[in-house]
Amino acid sequence: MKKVNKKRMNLTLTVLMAMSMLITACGGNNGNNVNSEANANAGNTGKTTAAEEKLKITMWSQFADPNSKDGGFVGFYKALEATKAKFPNVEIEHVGVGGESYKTKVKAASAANELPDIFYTWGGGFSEPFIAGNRILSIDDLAKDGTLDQIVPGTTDNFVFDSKLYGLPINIATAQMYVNKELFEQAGAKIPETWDELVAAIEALKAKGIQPIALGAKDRWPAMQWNAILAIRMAGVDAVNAALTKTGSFDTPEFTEAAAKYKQLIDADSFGKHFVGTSYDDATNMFLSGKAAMMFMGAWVNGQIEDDNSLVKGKVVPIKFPTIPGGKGNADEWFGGSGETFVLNADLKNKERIWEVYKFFIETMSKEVFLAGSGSSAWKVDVGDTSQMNPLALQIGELSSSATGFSYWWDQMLNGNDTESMFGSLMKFVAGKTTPEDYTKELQSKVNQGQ
Amino acid sequence: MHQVFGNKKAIAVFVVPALILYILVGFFPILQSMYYSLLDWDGIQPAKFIGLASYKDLFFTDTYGMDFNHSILNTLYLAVLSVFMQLPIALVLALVLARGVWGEKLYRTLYFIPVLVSSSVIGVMFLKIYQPEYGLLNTILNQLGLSSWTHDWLTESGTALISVMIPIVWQYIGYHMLLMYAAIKGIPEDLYEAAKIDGASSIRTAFSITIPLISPILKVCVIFAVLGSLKFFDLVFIMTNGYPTPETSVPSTLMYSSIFNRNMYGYGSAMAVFMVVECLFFYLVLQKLIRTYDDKEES
Repeated sequence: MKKVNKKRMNLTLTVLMAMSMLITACGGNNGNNVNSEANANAGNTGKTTAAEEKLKITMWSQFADPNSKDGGFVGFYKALEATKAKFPNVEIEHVGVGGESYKTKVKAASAANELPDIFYTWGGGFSEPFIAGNRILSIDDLAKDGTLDQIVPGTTDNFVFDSKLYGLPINIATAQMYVNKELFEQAGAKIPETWDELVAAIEALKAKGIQPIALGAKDRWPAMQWNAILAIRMAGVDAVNAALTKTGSFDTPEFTEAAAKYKQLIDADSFGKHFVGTSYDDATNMFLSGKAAMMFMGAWVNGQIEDDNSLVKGKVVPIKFPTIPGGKGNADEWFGGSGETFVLNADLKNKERIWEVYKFFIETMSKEVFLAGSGSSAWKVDVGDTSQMNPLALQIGELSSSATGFSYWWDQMLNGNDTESMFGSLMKFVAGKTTPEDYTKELQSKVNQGQ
Repeated sequence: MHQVFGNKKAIAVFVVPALILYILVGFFPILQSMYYSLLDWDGIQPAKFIGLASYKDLFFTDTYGMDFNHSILNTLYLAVLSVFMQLPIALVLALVLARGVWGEKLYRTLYFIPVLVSSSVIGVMFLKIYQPEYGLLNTILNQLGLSSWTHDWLTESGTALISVMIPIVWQYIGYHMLLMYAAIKGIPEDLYEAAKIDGASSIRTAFSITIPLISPILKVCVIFAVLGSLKFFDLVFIMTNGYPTPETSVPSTLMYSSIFNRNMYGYGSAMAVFMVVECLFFYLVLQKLIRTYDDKEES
């Protein structure tokens, strides 16, 4: 009964804060092994121009493990090496901190005004307080050198605040419907392109005793994804983005209808009877072991689906989410987009030189992340050989090439406080405690307070 | 010995370092939290002084729909369960074990194992037991033909709270049992021999000799159980985190979520301060109650 004692809890918080401050304070001298490689590279390439003096850039990211197989990590480290090779006169000191502690670290560093020159961040709500606190450099003027022409339109939306640009996009991550072709054949169901076909497929699958859709709502964000895509199909991306950025309302007939459609799927046991108590991992395993026929999920599951241990390898096809008749959104509007990037410190000296390094780094990372199978490139670049790529990633790249709009992850678009409020209302709704009407009203009043 | 305790310098040498450490890591953070609780602060931008507004919101307005009052009720419910379920079970086990049964040492170890095992292990284990699709509990119920009794244990509003509390209560039975067991073992054997000669039954012996003699330890157990419940965190955090449905939230999980998920340092600190005050209050009340009870005993 007495494991966590409140005093100790307070203490832990304080110590955590103090430690992050300390780490921050030492950040400048705190190079890791990557750093020493940088020195080696700089020495070897021998392209040193005498005119340019050596420049030291500090960089923080959440890519802590150089050996990770995750596409984002692979892309990051390849881009970092390429940047070091390209700019021998620049010494990049990279510090990687994994997971949630990275967020704590940058927040603490920001409070102490100890942020590094370049640091990783999430667009939308996470960055907002940093920008309000004048911690991030606006790159409007710097990007006028033609950089913006090389970028896929719409991918910078999440880095624009008060019509000022603060970051360059890396890659486009989308959520799509993954369909297990084998189970669909068994049930004699058609791969759905419209809402009615989706409902028909769900009935056919249920008749065969197959769970139609895997959904792990216990972790909350998977439940959010379904609400998001249905809202995108009903109201269109512009209306959804407006609601998320507090320039529009959640309490509209379209949002309510999207929630009603969600409820229709829930009531039909499309996600199984226990989806509220099922975790993301459990749901993913259900899909990977061929026990569920569909899953609406981000591209990060590509690797797991095509893994040698996966029971559904080669049996899965990604499709655009079905359209809803009467809805304002079309099939080329996607849930997802570009939201993670690196930004520059507002107090930067040597802006122009660091900008060159930054631009090259982001562009390279964009390409490498795509080749690593983790989302399409946000830059119009020739990526070269794609024969070794994950087939699902390639198919998704083709599907999303005709995209006309993106609406990014709700829990990134909203700030931390609104995200928690949104999750609170959402979970009450999916657990059947509120009606679609009350849910959208509550969402509006809790998330868009005073709008 | 006497000289050491009489020497003020010696006292200072031994006490001052510990006192400084305690003030730094125990007392100072509480004061700091009290200060933070008066701020509107996201941890990044400059803080704004808002006085007691966070406290008012916490208990009355509830702007963020966290239902802090409900989470306090949850911990009070847990405290009641601990005192009236956990402690009696621990006491019975201690009485039986300490008066000698076959395999005493083995049972003592078995009952104590949950205390030794890390809370995260217990949390994950019970997650698997309660898992609705393949969890042990529902599987057994289905095998027994009791499918109608199966539940989404940790998410249905009717079962979530009690499902979370069962492992919490279970985990610390061994701890209280061991405290009581040690106390019982300290009672002189001749008292029991006298009782035996007088022809007292074992139940009579327990109520007339054992329980009165270990009452100091029982009081400690009650205080531990109540205060522990009020600030409970780990198993709830691991099993449900206070969501997906909010039935199982406790003040400490809301505090965590306020500070680390919602970036509301001030609001979360207000919760922390409330918990300090609440625990202090219950401690004083329990002390008072126990003292009144003692006075009555003596008169």
